[in-house]
Amino acid sequence: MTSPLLDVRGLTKQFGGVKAVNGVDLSLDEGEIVGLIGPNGAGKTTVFNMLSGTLRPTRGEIHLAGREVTGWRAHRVCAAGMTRTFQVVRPFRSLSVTDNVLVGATGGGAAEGQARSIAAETLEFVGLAAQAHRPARELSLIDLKRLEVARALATRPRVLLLDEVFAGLTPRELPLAVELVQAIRRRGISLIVIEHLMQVVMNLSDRVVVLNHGEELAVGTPEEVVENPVVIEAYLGTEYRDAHGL
Amino acid sequence: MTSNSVPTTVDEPPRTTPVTVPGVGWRDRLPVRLGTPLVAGLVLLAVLALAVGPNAYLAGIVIETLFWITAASAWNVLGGYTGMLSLGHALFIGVSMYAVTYAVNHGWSWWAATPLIVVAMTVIGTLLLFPGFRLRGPFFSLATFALPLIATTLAVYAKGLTGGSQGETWPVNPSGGQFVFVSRVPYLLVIGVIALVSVLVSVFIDRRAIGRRMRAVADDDVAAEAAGVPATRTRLIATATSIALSSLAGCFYVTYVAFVDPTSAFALDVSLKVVLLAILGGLGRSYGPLIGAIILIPADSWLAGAFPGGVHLLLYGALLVVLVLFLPQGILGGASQLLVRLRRRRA
Repeated sequence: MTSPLLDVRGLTKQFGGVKAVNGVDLSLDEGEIVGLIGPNGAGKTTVFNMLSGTLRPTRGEIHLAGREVTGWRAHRVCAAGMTRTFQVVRPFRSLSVTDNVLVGATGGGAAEGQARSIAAETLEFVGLAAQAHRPARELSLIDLKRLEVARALATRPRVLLLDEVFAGLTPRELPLAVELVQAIRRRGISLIVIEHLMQVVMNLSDRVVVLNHGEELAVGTPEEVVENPVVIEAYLGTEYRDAHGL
Repeated sequence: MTSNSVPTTVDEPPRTTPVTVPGVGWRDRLPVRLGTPLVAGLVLLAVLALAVGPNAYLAGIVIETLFWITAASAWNVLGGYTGMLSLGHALFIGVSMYAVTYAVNHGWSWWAATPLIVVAMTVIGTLLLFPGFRLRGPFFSLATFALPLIATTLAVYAKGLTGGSQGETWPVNPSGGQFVFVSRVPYLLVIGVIALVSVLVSVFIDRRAIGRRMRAVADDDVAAEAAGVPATRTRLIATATSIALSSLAGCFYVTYVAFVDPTSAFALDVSLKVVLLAILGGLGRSYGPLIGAIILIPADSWLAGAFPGGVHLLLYGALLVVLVLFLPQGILGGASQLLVRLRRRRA
């Protein structure tokens, strides 16, 4: 068996006396979508912060495509092929939509001319081409989420970490967002998706990892995970089980 | 840039600038687009030097304006583009004034001393600010604010180097090497070229990846890092560029005023004025400091002449209040908003 694209072992983050993440193992294969779920405060975003280089892990190892990237600064991890989006959108508000995406494109290592074609293509792909020249601060929430994804995609990652890109979207917008994630996978990009909406997680994920209190509670296919009594107890709740007739 | 883009002397504000989307020609990859502002600037400068050269009063105002264009543009690279609001830029101007005075009084030519001092000041100044990179917003401002205060004290005590609180004077006998001229024209030309360089540096930054990166770091450095922007390196580039231009401005300015002492070299007034001119012209816009200085420096001089005895300060203050109230995004920011509104109404 070849080693996975992303291989994480024993990832731990300690803030003072609190272990926000404790010994988490994760793997992501080429072309796979892994859902990362768990109650608020379970450490999901902290895992992303460490994977993407925003935070330094206290312990543990992160291997990306056979290279150890543990503790690298975010811009280097990004150049190595892994980047993330933020749960609360963080656009560059003083830049235009195109310039936001261009920052990602050149950040991923493209030269200016190439970056411009990447940016144009990416904006088209996420459905923001019509807004290209507007200042980022004028966009609606769904468009800001699209921009968040576009900026990350423009860095041409092999692994994309999506932190709750579906939160706050209206029911009508959800299928569009799901379709977007599936289209990203079809481009050969592997994803880890943090998500609270179970319907979305079930739909998208090949495998699901459940975190609780910073520790890995369960791993498995979506079906296995939702039937796991420990997961129901800790996260989904008995109402979820009853509603789905499990 | 619009498709029929002919760069004009007035900046297309970056925020509304449409970008030619796919593919760019070799012209866009080279800084040749700087050619138009460069030629326009040089022609304007030559005309200006000939026109006001013989009139010492007017020449003085133009020289002051060109100096402040340089100093404010230099500040704008760090404070405007990169969001690091330094309140201590007088340090880099002042130290350079002292250094070049010392060199010239010890037999150096101004022309040889200036490049060396600019390089040394850039290295030392960048090292000084580097520990402050982790400070944000007002904390960075406060840290930088302290630097000229420390320098003032040091300059008073280091009498051997600085002449103490008496200050140092510039040589008086005309000499090209020491930059002492009777005519105002050489001063006009040299500070004119320096100001032009500082504006062109801003225009260059504005049109290139580095300008976007500086703005991205200013807006949100965590998101910038995640998008592959080396934030620290970007801050270093901005800091070094800003200090180099400030130092160059200082090396020139002392030849013109022919005197340097601790209070004038490290004046709070200088640190604040560069910020003010950049903000009033248009923060983080390549032509912002230029516009700010062109409007406010001559206005200041004219008011001082027309309303002596302190009244001019009152009027100058009132002018600033009006500008900040009605044009919070600066003169250029206000103008571009007006343009956008007009364009929308027509559409």
